[in-house]
Amino acid sequence: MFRLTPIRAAIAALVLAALAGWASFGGYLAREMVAEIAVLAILALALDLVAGFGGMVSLAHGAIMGVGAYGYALANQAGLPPWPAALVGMAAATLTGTAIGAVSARLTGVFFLMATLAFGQMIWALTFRADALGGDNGLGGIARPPLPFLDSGDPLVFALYALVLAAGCLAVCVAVLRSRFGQRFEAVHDNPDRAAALGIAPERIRAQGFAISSMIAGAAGVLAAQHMQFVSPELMVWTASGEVLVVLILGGIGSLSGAVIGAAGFVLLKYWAADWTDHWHLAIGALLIVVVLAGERGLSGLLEGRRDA
Amino acid sequence: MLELSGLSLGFGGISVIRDLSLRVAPGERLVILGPNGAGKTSLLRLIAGELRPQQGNIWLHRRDITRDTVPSRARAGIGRGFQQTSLFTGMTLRENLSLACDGDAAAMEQLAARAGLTDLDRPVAKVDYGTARRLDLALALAGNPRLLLLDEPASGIGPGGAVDLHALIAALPRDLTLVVIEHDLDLAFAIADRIAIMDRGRIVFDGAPEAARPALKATYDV
Repeated sequence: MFRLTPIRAAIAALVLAALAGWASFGGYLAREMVAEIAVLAILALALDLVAGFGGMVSLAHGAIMGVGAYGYALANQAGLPPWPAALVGMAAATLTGTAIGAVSARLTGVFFLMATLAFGQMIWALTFRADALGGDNGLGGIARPPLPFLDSGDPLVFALYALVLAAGCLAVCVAVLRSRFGQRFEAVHDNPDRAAALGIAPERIRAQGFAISSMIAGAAGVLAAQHMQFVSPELMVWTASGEVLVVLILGGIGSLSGAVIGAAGFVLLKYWAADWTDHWHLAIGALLIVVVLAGERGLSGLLEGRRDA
Repeated sequence: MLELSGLSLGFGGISVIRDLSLRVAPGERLVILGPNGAGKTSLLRLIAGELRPQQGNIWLHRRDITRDTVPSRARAGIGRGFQQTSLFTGMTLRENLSLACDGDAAAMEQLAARAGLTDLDRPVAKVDYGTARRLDLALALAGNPRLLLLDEPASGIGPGGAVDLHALIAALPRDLTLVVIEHDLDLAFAIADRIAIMDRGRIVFDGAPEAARPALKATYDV
């Protein structure tokens, strides 16, 4: 069962604080990277909720994030101000996730994985071919949200805003897992037969968890659209879902703090390795293997273990 | 209370339950005996909703529940204890009980006391098997079921633990209807109002405990 141990809370807080410091004192690239990390961290949190605590490894989360991004972009282009448009984006992602969850939640293991992959690819293909969505050119000219006394067009302001959103999503995930629903959600993963014998409907709980996770993935999509001020089907390619799974394994699945440290580690390693070689995936792959061999608990687990020892 | 009529179940051409009918009155304590492979656990799984019969119907309080799911049968008042303990192993005893009691702290404390569970903050993965057995029974009793299904509740625990568990089962309220599968004949005869003996998917004896011994001898060939 989920426990926000002091070390986990400290890891998440320290990583977010370090990123805020780096954005404040770093240059333009640092601020852009921090915003990218925040988007990835939110998406990884959404995936951790279902994969780490519900045992549902989804390959649709990239597409669901994309639905959130497109929902925001379309609502904004239709004349809706950014904040209500953000709600539209999140609602679109939640509805999409609810539909995917309603079908997929009755499946487990590799069948669940394949079902979510199929849904994700369908969403990507529909978006890619839809002229109204800009096809493979995507949609541009997306507004950033107005912030009181601050200019969200300033990279530093936007990076800090993105980190605040990531912290907010982390708090939402903690609240969900600590709630009675969260307890049932984990119970259904732990022992579905016993949960059912207690009157808990496993499929319904799993579907509801998937919908909540999709709402958070939608928030990542909205933030991505605000960051890039542009959306394209590339957001929805299945490899985007695979990438966030790598982030989660790297950071530590089933801990929440792993999503934050994994996103930071992934983006930093990607940029660092890309300076040396075009084959930066090799560096990520090598690190992933080392982390998995070191105990499958990810960077977060390694830090926890070292502290416990 | 519970009525099974013409139940049949088979797996891949092998009949496990054959045209089985049975009635259990409210408050009655029915113990089902029989050799391994007689179909006892399959029968319990049919009543709990984990298996669907190919033929026949299951009625609970005059309502046909044959097509109901496991959770809806649980909400209708069927409690279930498993042959091998079925617990939330990633949680503590308290978290298991809290989940079963839907967060009702008073009900949880009462349930823990009833099952003789102490030191509730222990992780389930680290408790001894006797404690795990008692927790399994406590989970089955959560929500105050009207019908309790127990599948060899004392299996796997030593003689001392079994005696404790027998006492616990014997002390259950008389208005709680019990259907128990048990190999331990001492427990079976201690708690049974009625005994049914199963063999090859059929009930070959159904009657008072004192009349069951000759039938048992014939069934077990002892």
